[in-house]
Amino acid sequence: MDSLDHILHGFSLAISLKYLMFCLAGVLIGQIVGVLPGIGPSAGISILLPLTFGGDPIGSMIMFSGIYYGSQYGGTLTSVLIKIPGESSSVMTSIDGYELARQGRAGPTLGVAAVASFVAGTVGVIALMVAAPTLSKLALLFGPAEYFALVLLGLTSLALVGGAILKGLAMGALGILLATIGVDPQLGNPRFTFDQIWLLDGIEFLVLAVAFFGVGEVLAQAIDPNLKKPANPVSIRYAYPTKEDWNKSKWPTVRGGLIGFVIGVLPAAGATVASFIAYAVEKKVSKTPEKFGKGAIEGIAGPEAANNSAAAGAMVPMFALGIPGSNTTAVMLGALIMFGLRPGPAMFDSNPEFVWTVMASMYVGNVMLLIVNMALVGLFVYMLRAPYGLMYPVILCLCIIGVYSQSNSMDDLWVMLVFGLIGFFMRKYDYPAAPLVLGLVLCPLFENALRQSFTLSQGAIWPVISRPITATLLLITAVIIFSPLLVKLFSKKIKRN
Amino acid sequence: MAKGEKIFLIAMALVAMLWVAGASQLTFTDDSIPASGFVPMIFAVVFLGLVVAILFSSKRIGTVVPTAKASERDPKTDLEQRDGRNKILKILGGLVVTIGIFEIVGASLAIFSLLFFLIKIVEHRSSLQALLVSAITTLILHLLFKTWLGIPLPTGPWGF
Repeated sequence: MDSLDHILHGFSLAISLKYLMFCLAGVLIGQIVGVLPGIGPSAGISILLPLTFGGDPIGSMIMFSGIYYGSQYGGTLTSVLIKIPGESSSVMTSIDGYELARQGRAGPTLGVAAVASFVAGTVGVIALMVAAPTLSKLALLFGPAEYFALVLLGLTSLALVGGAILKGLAMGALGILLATIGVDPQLGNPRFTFDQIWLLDGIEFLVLAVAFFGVGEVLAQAIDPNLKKPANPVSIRYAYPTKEDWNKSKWPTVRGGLIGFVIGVLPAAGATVASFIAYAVEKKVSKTPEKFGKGAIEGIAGPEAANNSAAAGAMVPMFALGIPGSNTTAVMLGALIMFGLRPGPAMFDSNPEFVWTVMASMYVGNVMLLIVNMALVGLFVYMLRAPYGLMYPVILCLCIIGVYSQSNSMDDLWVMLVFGLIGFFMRKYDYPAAPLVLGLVLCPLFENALRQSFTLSQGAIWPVISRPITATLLLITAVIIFSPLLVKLFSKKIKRN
Repeated sequence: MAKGEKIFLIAMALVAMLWVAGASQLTFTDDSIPASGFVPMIFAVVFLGLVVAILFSSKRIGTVVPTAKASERDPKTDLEQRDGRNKILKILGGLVVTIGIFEIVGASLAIFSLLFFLIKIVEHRSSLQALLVSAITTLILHLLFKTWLGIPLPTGPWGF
């Protein structure tokens, strides 16, 4: 049976009533999980995992995949409507999405996000079907040195957000410092725990994300007379994107879809890095980069396309290499092993029905997401009419319960409160929180890759940085860091002349 | 640069120095291979450098915000700022108390109390509205997290 037969067989199973129900359940749960701050897809899947034990592996994996990509769009809703990304991959969407919502354009924003997610998700799934076996071989070219350079590129790119490069870089560095709290992943000795046992586990990404984007934002809005006002009431008639919106977002969608898939394929890179890079690319290629951060629809289409496409791409390393592309696929990998399957290069040959049915269901799930979201855009926009004075107490309560749910820890709640206050000051003095949070997420990957690559080269720098992919990535990083400086110097020279 | 931002940056610089001190206790490299202290030390120094650069760059380009004299200040702005500060303190106070009593009185009662306090006392809404929103939200959160997702939220002496 060749690939095409496998795909057709997968589709025939994916559209059966039983698997359609699994898919719908996954997509809807994913939306809820994405909307609720504090409960991510990895947590949602983990909670549901015991329920699927002994059940149908294909159905369960279809549901888990639905939760994964459904949550990508669920996170968009909260990012746009209340500027709280339910997922780290929606952080970039919140920057322009919330500004657009405040301008009374929440409907078109959500519409563009839904269509961009659908198009890129679909392209991602098709690309996954066509290229999965080949891409799995390409992904093998990425060793620790390449990952170290890739994450360094991701971290320095963070500085592009907001415009204040120094502040962005400083917050990224702070995120890395906070990530070093806990047990050294390679040697096992405690670092920066200050003799506190509860710090041995480190600070969870989720706690900081909720603190900065939930508590910090609520506190910032309390003193901002402009932010305090509820967003402009939006008529349902204006809930859908205009022709101009579509024109502006078609190429960002294509670019985001491609970036998302490629980044998603790389093991352990994931949707967060993809959405960030897509945003950075859109800002770079835009003729009006100054509009980014103030409500640019391209800043929605690119990252949204990227995070959905990355969800499809992340399945490649999981199925083909047995390496998780994200936290969520790590949990899904555990589920695969629990179901008695062995993820790895032989998976496409040993369990073709399983792999191709799950992939086909992802396409079906994307269609479901589009229908559900386009139909409900008006309802989501209507939510904006709720007075903020009633909304923020509910947001704070969701933050408290969400953070507590993570590990049933009171310490996490106190950490959330302290960092919420820090987030307030960062917001007040215009220090971006996204680089800090993403620095915290990427640091373990960065540190492990760095130390592994130097271990392999026995401490020598040249063998690490002279590898072609590593050298290219490091060169791009250097260009990102020094380009603003060079632009300043050149513009001064031009002015003088 | 506002005075508050300077204090914020000085606090950040202290964090960086704390990390430099902590990282110096750890092994930097082991046979030229980065060890436990490598990444923390490098990034603490980078962070410190960036904080100093932010302080220095804002001084160099002269972005010092002149503080208005008391007689020149807009009384409306002053009032708004004071109201904002009071509101933040009330919200923070509410959060501290809620987290403090979370395991003692149970999640549901703590959440209900926080909601009622914020809606009634901080937002000055009617008692009926505060009561209704608090009760409905608490019920939904209880059903969603405790009943549906099965998260063991703390219960108080009354069993909820």
